[in-house]
Amino acid sequence: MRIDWRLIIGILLFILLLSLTVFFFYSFKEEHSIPPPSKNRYHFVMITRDTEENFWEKVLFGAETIGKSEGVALEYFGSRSADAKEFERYLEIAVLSRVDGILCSIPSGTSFQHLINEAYEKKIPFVALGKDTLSSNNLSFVGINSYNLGFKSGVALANTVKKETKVAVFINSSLADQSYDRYLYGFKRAIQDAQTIKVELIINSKGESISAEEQTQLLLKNYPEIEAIVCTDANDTLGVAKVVVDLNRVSKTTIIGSGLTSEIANYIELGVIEGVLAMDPFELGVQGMSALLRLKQNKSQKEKYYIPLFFVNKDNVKQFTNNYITVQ
Amino acid sequence: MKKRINQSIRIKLICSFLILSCIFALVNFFSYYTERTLLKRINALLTNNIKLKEYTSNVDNLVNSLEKYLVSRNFDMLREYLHYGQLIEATYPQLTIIEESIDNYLLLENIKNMSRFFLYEADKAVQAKRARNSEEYHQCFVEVVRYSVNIKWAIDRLIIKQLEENSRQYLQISNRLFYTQRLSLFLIISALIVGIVVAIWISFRLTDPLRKLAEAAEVVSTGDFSIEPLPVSTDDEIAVVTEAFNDMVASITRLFEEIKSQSNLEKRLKEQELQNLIMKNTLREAELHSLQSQINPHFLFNTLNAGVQLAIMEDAEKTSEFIDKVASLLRYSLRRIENPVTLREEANNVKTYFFILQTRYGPDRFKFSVNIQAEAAVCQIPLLTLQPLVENALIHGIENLESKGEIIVNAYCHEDRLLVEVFDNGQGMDEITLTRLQNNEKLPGHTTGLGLANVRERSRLFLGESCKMRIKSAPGKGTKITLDLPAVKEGGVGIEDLGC
Repeated sequence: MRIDWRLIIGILLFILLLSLTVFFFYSFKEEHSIPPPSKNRYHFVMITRDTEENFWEKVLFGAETIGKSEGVALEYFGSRSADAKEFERYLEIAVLSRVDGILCSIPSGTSFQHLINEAYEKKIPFVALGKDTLSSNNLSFVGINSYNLGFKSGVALANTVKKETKVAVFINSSLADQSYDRYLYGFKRAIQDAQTIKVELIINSKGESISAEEQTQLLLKNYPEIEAIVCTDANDTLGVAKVVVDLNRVSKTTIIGSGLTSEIANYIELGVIEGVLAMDPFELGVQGMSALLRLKQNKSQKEKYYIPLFFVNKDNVKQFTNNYITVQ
Repeated sequence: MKKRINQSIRIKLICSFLILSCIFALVNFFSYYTERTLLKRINALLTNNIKLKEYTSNVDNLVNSLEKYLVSRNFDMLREYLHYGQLIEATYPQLTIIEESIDNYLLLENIKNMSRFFLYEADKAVQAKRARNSEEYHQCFVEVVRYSVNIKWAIDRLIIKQLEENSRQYLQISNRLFYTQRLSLFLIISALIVGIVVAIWISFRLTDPLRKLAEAAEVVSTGDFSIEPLPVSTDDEIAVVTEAFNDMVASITRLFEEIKSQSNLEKRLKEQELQNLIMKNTLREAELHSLQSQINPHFLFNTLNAGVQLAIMEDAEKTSEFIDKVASLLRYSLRRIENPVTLREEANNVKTYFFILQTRYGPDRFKFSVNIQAEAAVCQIPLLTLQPLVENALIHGIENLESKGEIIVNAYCHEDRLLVEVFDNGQGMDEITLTRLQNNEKLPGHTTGLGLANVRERSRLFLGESCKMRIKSAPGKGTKITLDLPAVKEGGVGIEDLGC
């Protein structure tokens, strides 16, 4: 067999050239792969506490989706611990750096009013996300309408219980005074027609699961006649559900919660929790970012935007889980 | 013409070395590149970390010197503060990150922004101190401290994030290095195997045709040119040498054949020449005999004519006839030997000769008869062809015979051949004598000297190579000599025609 040496040389040279090209391409790519961020128009910061799994990731995703098209570089500070100091640090850095805008979910039980005021003084647009925890006039708010939450919780409870029922309400103590009142007002409006439901207790919760467990245990021990518990917070809902299971009172206690996590979804499927009121986190992100952009571009001064609430029960929990909990 | 070599050995060797070099170069390049990337990354990280830490320490030093200045209003401290201020002002815009993620970039932006305001607040504090506004410089200093804490915190966070990211990448690159090393090992082993295979293959491919060439050359050197042409399977210098060798063997064989055929031709020519010489010699011999016979012919003729006239005068008729016959025989033998005669003339001469012999030996001693076919009588034969045969028959055959000897001459044409037979009933010949005769050896005895060989050679000279002489004899049973000649009628050939 004759071998065409010229062909072999050609193939070898081709392989060599190809290899070199690939190498140089990759080295080039590795060294210059990040586009210069200076082309972004705004530097926004989003600060959250990851107390609810995946929820804030979905919010971040929603915010980023809008932000990208508007040339926003979104810096994300997500505290995984419940340490308020760390959260404060993030917020302080954002304020001191005079970023172009801040999206922030204010954690319960803490007060960052001075930082929010400082941001206002430094003309940093500020949008609070989630719950109406601060009674400040200096910021925009995107999140849940307390009255609506109370009203829908009441409706859900009234639809669920038929006989005479004594109910306990866990209200997150971090809610601003106005929000607190509005929530209760809404709730009571919803159940006022149902004569069978009677609000027996209103408990100020800390919005922490362990704390809620303790409070629930005490509650059920001291008030065994309580047959329904309504919560305003996801952590409270989870704590209550755990205690109800532990005390073997699943069939005796109706739980109407708030916020949807995978654990809560699991309890709903098992029938421990009757249902929860939840919002679309993606929508929260989208609306939050939109509000911040409007503030930055001076299209609005101060606004409140309420995200629609859905009642998630055994029938539709799977659909909601798939849509809202699964990380995209 | 120079043959174009498509795949020379040099190219083959260069290609082989090129293949191996390429593979090794590639392997080394892989390893080098990966290790270089790793080192570069680690180096960049450490350098960056040191820079950031230096920056942090400068921030601390500025805060310290500012505090001391605010407390003591010491100008040395102010200088120190200004020095660090300038240092930070010059440094912070050059702060960079190595892990270029958007988060790191934004964090760096925060650091730069905070640094700017940090310096601004510090300056404000100094101004306030100079203006002796204690409340303001105190507030400003609080802000400065706040900024410095946050700057340090952000730098620490940046370092940690970069370290985390770098550690992850380090692990990835380490993995890549591990696979690269595996790949390198594989490539080196492959290259070695390929190298060995190529080396063996090339050496076989180079040496095998050379070995065959050497064997063939050895065979040729012994003089054997009958080898098959060597096969040409490559397209390199060896192929050229092999083709040249094949051509050389073919050329030598052809030249050899040419020389051989030339030598055969020369041999044949020499034989021909020898034959011509023999013929010339025979001719000369006959001529000599003829000349010898012509010695003083007029004297002999005159003498014989005088004898004839004397016999007539003395009324001796027989003597007169005898002498006349002798004169006629002499006249015949003196004819020019190169001119052919007819068979009739030759027969008449033989008859004359016999008349003389009968006169000499007596009429009853021999019986002689001549039978010539009319067609044969006009055929031409060389002069003195028949007489030597008859003379031989007489001398060797019947001269010593007790009883009456007989010589019969028959001549006839058969197809295009003239057959002349001379038969005697004499003593015949034994085998040995017959063989000697057939081998052209001269026999002892008293003849005219024109032996059988002479007759045969002259016949061939006159009438061509187809002339044959057959002798049939046995002791006591007589001898029969047959001349087989081409039948050439009168006016046919002469010795001049042969160029003699």
